[in-house]
Amino acid sequence: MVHALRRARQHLRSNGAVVLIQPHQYKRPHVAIASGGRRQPVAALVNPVFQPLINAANAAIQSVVDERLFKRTGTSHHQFTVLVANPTEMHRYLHQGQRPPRFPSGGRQRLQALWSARPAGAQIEVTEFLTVIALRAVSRR
Amino acid sequence: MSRSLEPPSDYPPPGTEIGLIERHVRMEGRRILEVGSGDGRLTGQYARRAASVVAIEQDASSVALARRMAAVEGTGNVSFRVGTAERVRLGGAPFDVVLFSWSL
Repeated sequence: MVHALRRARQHLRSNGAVVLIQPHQYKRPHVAIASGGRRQPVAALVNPVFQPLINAANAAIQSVVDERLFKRTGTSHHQFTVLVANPTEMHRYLHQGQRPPRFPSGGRQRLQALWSARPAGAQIEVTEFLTVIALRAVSRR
Repeated sequence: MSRSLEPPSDYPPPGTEIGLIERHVRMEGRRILEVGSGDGRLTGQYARRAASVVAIEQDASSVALARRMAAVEGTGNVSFRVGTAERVRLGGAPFDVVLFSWSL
């Protein structure tokens, strides 16, 4: 990714901007059972395959800042929720990406147990976390 | 009872990312390079307000889908390219904004 950022700098006008949208560095999706304004937490998912990639992306950003190609102008963290109908749809939801997260030990059983005892109208709520990073091109001298 | 064939998207609801991007940069009338544009999901949300867009994606089938969607939507100011940011040939004027959207 560092090469892509360097290439981006070559094709940016002076004072141009780079904006990166990416998963939060540490927060993986949280799963809960939601019903009538009530939430029962199930688990925070894990993704050991994915973690090195997000770490590498952040290292690449730091590299181009250290090289004075860019300066950081903003970082913000956000979240959004997705409602899925049942555990089967939850499985399909999680496996849309190339590197799907997984439940931690015991997490899937907890989901099944809470889902079996769910109140009427319950859905599975997945909270996803993302980060927006803005960089500004540093003028060449 | 009808049932959706597709699970809900694991991307933010439409418009969310554009709102977040525009907290940092203005996209209106800008020349934009998008790296990792996938099937053009995000591109289609902002292209109309941009002056022009070059969208790069290494998966050719996703680019084909993005081109079809752009044709359906009548978005004529986007050039979808197959390749990577490191290798795609980029001519023309410099860009005002480069977006890396979920392109780890």
